[in-house]
Amino acid sequence: MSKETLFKYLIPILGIAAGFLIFTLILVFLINADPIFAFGEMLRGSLGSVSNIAKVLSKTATITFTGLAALIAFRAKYFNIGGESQLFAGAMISVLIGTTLPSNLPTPIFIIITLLVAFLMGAAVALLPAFLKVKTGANEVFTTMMLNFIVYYIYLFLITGPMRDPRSPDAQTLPIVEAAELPQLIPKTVLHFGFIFAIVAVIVIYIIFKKTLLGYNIQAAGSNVRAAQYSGINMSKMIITVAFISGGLAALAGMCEVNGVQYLVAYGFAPFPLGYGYLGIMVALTGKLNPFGTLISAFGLSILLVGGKAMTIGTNIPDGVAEMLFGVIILFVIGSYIASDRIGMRRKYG
Amino acid sequence: MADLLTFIILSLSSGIGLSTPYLFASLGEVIAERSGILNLGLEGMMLIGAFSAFTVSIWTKSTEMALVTSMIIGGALGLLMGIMVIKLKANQIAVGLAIVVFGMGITVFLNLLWFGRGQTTTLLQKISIPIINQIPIIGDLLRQNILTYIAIILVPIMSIFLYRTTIGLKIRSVGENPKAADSLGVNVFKIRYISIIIGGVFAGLGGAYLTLGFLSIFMPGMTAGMGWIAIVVTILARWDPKGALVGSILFGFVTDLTVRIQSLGVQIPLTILNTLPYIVAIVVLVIVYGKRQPPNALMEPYIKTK
Repeated sequence: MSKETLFKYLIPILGIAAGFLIFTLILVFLINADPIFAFGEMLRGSLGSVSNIAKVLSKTATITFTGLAALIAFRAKYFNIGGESQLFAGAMISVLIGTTLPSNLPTPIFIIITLLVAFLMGAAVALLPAFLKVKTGANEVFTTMMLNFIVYYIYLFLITGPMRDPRSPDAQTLPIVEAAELPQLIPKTVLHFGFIFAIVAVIVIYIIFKKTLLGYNIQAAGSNVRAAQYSGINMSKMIITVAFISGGLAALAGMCEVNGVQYLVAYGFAPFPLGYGYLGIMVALTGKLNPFGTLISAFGLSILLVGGKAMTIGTNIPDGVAEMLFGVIILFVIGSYIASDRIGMRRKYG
Repeated sequence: MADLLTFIILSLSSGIGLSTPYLFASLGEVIAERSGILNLGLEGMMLIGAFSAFTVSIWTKSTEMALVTSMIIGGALGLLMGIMVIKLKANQIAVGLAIVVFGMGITVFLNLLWFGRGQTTTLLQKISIPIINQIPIIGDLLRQNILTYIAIILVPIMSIFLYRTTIGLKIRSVGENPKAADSLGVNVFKIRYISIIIGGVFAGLGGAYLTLGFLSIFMPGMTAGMGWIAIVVTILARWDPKGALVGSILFGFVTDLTVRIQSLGVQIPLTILNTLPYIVAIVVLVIVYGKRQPPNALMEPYIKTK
């Protein structure tokens, strides 16, 4: 391993370590918690047993999908931050399919139909801001953000109104039929087949960017609009394509949660307004917009989320620690990337 | 008829009150974006502002201290954002979102740690202005707390600041063409730091309104998307302080209306009604957008070439 590669990996790791260090100081000085015990609880709660690892991996699948959605859009400098809206749309349509199609259909058929329709549903939600951008120039950062709230309230409307399970005292939909459930990879855990889909998606996105013209064009459109236009890339078409794929991928995160983990959509189905869509953006960026980097970041974040929950249950540390720790780490990691780039530059050009 | 009038006056009055957090946050955002920084961290900064004002108000029983603290902490968060995006040239969206996540986490955490549940603070007094309070209707509308008045007075002040002062000119120039500004001897980095810190201070105040002027308690996530809407208000305002006033009152009023229509017993599901502000935002955005583009260098880090 050359010195440059060593630096490339070492500095972000130092960034993560610095994040943990600050967090440890907070634990020690603010709540007199025993940090070793606290982090022990976090590790035990996330990686300490098969069922806990399954929890982590199933969350990894969900966040990987929203992460890839952000990755492809951000590579093209199309800032789709509407992951939430596409996720909720994908989840609702997955429930609709899982509760209305005849329950004697074989599972693979169910899964394929749900996968396709959820993808298209998410893509449709993502296309609206893309069209607005192409036609009127309305900035996608804001339209996708507003759409998050609109779709969220439509989701609330659906689970309290038309799609509500009439027999349940809570606001929730009917559960999907058993045949529509994603098979479990490890029996009696929440690790489901969607995790395989996520890995496949990571590889497909990797190949798209490494080997195909589409990937090359997306990259070109993202790095220099004018140069891309001169070389004959149709920017409008590019934006529409990117939004389509991005929205579809984010919707699959919703499908994973419905068909793999929760089997119905209830109130509080996914965190909002800062949910998996936003987390996806952050894992994509901490993964340096690389598919495998995104997967690894999603895994790391899932450990923090699942372990953070366990930490608050097992100790006197209040809720909210995982988010706080994650925010600190993100800032350090992003900062460290830039530091490591600069060191790399200095080494190259002196 | 009299009922209708009372209804309108009541909802206008509370709409003006509710526009305060939007107005503070979007005034700050106008300055930040004019200098080229998109501060997506508003929601987090407002939350932390709300919480720090609440905390200090309970600990010291002093509203002044509470307000000053929320400003200082808001400014510090602005500085943090500035270091990340100006010095380190990090992606502004990523840093903004990280600040939101951090803000949500730390406020939930510290609130449980320090207060548990059920602590309340005293609300700011509503003030009527002498003479004006004699005027019917207008007198009723202008019975707000001190923060609302400060926010409204800030509109002309920020307008003059942005358009009539040297530093305002510099802010606009580094947001449009940092390279040209730099070649004229403007310190691009310094100006952007000043702008984002102003943005943070105002966001902190906007948050403080929620705990000191509106609810008297702190609830996790109580900003409920106000930070995001303030960003939209900034666009509707076409990056102009006067526009921010109009946009904020519009959203303050719509926010109030969604609650009030319910109380009238109109048969629209609340969830559908709640989409109203956002639909209004998108529609206005599409109408407004073609006419005025955002600052040219928005979201572009400035790299000084030798």
